[in-house]
Amino acid sequence: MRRKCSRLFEGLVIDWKSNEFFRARIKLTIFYAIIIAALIVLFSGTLWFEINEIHDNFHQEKIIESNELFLDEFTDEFADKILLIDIFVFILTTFLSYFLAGKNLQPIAKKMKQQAQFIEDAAHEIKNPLAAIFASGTSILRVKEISDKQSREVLGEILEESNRLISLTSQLLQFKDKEHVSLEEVQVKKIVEKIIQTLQPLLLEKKIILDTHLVNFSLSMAESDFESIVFNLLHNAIKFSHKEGKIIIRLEKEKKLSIQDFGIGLSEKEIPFIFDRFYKADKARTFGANTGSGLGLSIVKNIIHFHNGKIRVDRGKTAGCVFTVTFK
Amino acid sequence: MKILLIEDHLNLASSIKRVLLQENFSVEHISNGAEAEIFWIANNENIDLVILDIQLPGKNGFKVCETIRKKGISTPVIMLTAKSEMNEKLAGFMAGTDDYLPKPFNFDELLMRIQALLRRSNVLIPQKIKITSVITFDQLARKIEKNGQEIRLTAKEFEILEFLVLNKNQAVSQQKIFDHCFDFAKENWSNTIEVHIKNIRKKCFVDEKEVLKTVRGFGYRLEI
Repeated sequence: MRRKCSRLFEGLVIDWKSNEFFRARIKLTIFYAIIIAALIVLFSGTLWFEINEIHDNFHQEKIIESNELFLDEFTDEFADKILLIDIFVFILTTFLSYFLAGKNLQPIAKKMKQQAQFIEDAAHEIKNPLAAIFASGTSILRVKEISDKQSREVLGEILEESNRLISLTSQLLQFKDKEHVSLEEVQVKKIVEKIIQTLQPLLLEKKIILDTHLVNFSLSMAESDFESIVFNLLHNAIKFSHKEGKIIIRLEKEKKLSIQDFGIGLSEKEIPFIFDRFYKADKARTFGANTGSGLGLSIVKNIIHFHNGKIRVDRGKTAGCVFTVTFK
Repeated sequence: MKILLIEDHLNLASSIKRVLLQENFSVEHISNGAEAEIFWIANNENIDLVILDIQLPGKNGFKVCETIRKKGISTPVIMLTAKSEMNEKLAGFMAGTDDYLPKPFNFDELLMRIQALLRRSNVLIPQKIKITSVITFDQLARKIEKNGQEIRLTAKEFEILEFLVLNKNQAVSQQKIFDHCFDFAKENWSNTIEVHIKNIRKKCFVDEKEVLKTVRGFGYRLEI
């Protein structure tokens, strides 16, 4: 029984944190409750007040015959008062309804605006690789005598852009609302080692020197979420490193993860923007030939904030930068 | 005809270059805005048209165009971009562009717009020119024909011949040919020019050796 209660409570806490419609619903329920209570009090209070008046009047010395007259008078007066109060309440509730209706629709309106913006951004990001594929295809068809070398070149271009689109669409899907979050006990050291394994090919290709100081701790979040964080940060670090560069990964028992690279780094003015959706750092555009979707850090930030953690980026003393994530 | 292509998306730039070279344009490609601006200013006399992307590393397309126009350089500009909203277009025209083409675009359209812009600057010859009784030079179609049959020249050869046609009946120095048709960073050019001239002669003027004359110690002259 107790376990059922605590499970229910946990479920509610998750709903509160993750579902903004649930939050809005609870807030509105409280609003409605307060308003209805106020109306009830107003109405009942008036009634009580009038009843008390009759009571007081009856306690005063009044001639028996005029009681009947008094009752008639009183009933008329009372009816008028009720009518007045009703009109007043009606006007008041109309205004309140308008206000409440607005509050009802606000989260929906906000959500729709966010979605519209997201669609616009996503469409724009898709246009670039598509334009390149279209251009590659139409350009080769104009060449009078296509050589084998040219064909291969064009096919390579089309493949590269297609891959970019594939990775973009799968990252876009990660932005779907996290309504059902499975909380697990994640052992961070194991995950970091797994991601390092996954990225081995890239590490070898650039001959990266990896320096790790890993102290294990546990976190309650979905394993795939923590994997996303490590993957995106490490992948960025590799991308921006020079050949034979060094990357330092640290896991500290104060629930901290830090990944440092010594590569091309960021400029001061870029730092506020790097967590924005689809933002790609300036130098990245020539360095990695426009690779990546720009969504990586934005996804990472979403996950971290959802779990009430913090992420910060600092420029390295000599070169590169360090990303530090602090979990709760 | 030298076109400066300023575009940071490398695959797209490859395709555009491919098409322009096929049409006998000479293409210079730079993918960084700041670098492109420096190059453009230094070589503006020899650049006939610029294709300018907006989102560039180093310095964005709008700013580059503004700076160029402030310096009084009037090279025709076509802006390319993935954004096609009105306020983007307005910003482009305010920055000084002559035309605006959203991506993805059709290459036929791009070429038509290039031709339209080149027509307005004084580097186009409106009709076909008869170099000899049997050889016609059509600058608009970017073709040279002998007895109605197209003679296939390389892009460089076409460019050199075009330059000589534009300066017809005048002696043109090797230096000038180099400045207009070649990229500085490249190889020993005087030898290269000689080789190209030899090929042009071989392909076009086998029977009419008088047409393309060598001016000893100076350069060449095309006599029409």
